[in-house]
Amino acid sequence: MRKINHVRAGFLVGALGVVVLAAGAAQAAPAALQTSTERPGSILIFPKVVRDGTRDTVIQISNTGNLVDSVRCFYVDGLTCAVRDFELTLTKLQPTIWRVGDGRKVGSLQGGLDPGNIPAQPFGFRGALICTEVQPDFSDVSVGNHLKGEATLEPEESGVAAGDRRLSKYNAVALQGGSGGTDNVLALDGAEYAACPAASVVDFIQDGNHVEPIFDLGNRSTCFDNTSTLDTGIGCHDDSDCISGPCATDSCSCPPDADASSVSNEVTFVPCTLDLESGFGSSFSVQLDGDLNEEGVKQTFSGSQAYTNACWGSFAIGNVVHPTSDGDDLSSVRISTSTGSPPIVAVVESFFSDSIQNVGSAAVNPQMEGAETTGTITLSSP
Amino acid sequence: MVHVTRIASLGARVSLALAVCLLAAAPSVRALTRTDQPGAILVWPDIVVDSSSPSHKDTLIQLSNTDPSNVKQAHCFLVDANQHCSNSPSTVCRNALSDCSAGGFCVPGWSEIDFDVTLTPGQPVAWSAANGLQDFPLDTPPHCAFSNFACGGDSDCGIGDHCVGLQNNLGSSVPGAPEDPFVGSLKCIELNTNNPPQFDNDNKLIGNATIETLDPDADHLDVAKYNAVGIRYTGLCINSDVQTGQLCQQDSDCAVGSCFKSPPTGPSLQIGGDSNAEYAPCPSKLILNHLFDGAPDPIGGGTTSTTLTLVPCGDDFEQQSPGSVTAQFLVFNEFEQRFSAARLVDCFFQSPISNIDTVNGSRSIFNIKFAGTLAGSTWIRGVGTAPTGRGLLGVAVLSAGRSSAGYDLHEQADPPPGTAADVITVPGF
Repeated sequence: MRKINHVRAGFLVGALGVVVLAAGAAQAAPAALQTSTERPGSILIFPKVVRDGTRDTVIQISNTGNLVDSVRCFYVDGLTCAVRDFELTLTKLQPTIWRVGDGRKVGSLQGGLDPGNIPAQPFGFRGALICTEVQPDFSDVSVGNHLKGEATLEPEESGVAAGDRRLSKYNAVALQGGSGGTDNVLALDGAEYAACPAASVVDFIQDGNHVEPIFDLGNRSTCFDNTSTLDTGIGCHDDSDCISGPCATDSCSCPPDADASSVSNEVTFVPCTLDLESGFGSSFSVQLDGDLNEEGVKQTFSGSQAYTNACWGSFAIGNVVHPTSDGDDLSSVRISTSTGSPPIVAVVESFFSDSIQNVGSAAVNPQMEGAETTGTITLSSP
Repeated sequence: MVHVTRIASLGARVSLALAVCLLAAAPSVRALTRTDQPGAILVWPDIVVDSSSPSHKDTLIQLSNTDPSNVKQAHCFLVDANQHCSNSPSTVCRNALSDCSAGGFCVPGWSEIDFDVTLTPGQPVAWSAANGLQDFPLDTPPHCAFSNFACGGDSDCGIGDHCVGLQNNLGSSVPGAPEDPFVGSLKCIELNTNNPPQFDNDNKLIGNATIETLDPDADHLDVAKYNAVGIRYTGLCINSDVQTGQLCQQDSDCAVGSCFKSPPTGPSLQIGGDSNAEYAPCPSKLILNHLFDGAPDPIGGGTTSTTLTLVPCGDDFEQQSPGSVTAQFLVFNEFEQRFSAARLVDCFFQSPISNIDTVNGSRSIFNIKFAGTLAGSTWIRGVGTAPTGRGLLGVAVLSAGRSSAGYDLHEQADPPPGTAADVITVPGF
């Protein structure tokens, strides 16, 4: 009897070990919360939302879960830090869409189940949109990790031909929720919610330099008259595109490889410390550190941009760093904030133009590097 | 007593073994393909070249080594997915009626060209898909800075002189697209700089692609950009010389033991699958958020369409046998209604979404006339039993008029336990 009890006890101890180990496994190596542009999360950040009179933005948000998802969203004005909030209710797996300048009124007959009353943003808005999952009564936060989203930037109708819409599209940055917390201060610390990236890495063609496919195929110069002094303003790739004069960049009749196409790159970001209740911004400095490889030489470059009481920012890379280059070389830049400053999430939009100012644009999510756990988002009272 | 103790100890051992088994069986793998973090295998699903009039298309491909200290090599495969006319095998066929002579039809094709790129620490490079890249920026052999003699280190140079150019792009050459027009994809696999090179046990490559459309006659320029998908190298958690079954990037990922990161061995690279995985699995589900084809552009008016490109996660480059996966589509509109379709992805699939289920796009479940709402969300799941696996990767391009915007699909959901691995087989390793 004693022997049997000990055997049983041994297995009990072992079984307990299984449970403890299994539980320990779950606790010792919890799946790290992810900040991602391609997986759903509980907080969505759209860093670049504009309705500035020249361009407007289309927002798409989807509930990827099988239950109703309640969401609070906040437009953050990048200039004033003013906040405008609204609420969404997305049924299971429901996608929804609205134009920022129009909003989406209940009963607008746009098609689909109404997600809620989404206000229209007035002209002059340049800022961000933050959305977070909340309880069905919109009171407290909730963590389901079911939100994903995209934003499409596009010129407004006036003055733009239908064929020249210049679309730019990017994925919203989704922060997965963990414990979610119990108050209206969302800690982006890797426990309550995923942390923001410590840095964003961007490969870019240096501002002002030409872009090879345009250089090879498109309008890289303009036709001059037969005296080679008067610019006709007609785009050309080479002399065969011109009636009488040369295809050149100026009256010097520069050689055929002269090029007037160019690119510029704009970084737009939101600091991960946001007070959506008071509308106060933060003061910090955005640091750019880069590498350039050219003609057998590696060089580094850096620059910074200071922000005071800011809740949003946007800058051309070429206004902050000026890598020395004589051609079409590519650079890589690491964008971060100084120690003690809030980390940022960013999106990069590039504008490509040819010699006669045909412009194309494209947005892309930068690569994210590391994690910085100091961000907090303070929600306003519902 | 002694006997009892042994039995009890045996029970504990059996239970501990069970615990290890439980850990091994636990759904510990995570779909870790990423478009926003570096990877060990990069996939650009959509590469296009077309210099035919009136619109010229070319793709600017960017590739970077994010390692600040070490040189990396990328072994790349440019996959030519052009179709050709059955009655004229050298003629690229996009539309049988217009491209092939009478009676001809389009025959799917698949061929690949491999090449190598050496990247110095932190170095980005870019090239046009049409032209490739032969003149790399750091193409000067190592030499003494002042005497200009060839060198392998500072000791080869005189006093006061030093060796420069030890980290360079020598040996790199990127071929241009083999055909014009060209559609296809690009896969690059990270190697270390051992001699001979080995598959690398690290995740340091990032990339993106910019598809540029130029119509000089119509004064039009359009660009669409997306990030390459990164398949991530993974280590295995080892506890007391026993694999626990968990995949890891670092020790903290392991419930017990530590993360062991041995270089993948070729020629077959295992992506996901069982505990022998060398790379984290491809996702079991992709999510495409889209406007239904024919939907009015909310800002610009006119109508919109979305083109979806899918490629298999696995390929057999040794046997010249592309991956083949059946893509199952579940489409949700804003009314909570659900529709479904399926298509074979044999090497490469590219189509307007409203031609996924029918050649008559206006009757498609992806058309606004059918769906009844502007926005939709489509889940894409790969299934199949091909030896190269069942994983899918993709990218989408939204078009409104002549303008377009590329964007990456959401990659979601771990493959369920027991899912076969995706396999990329690389010759020469």
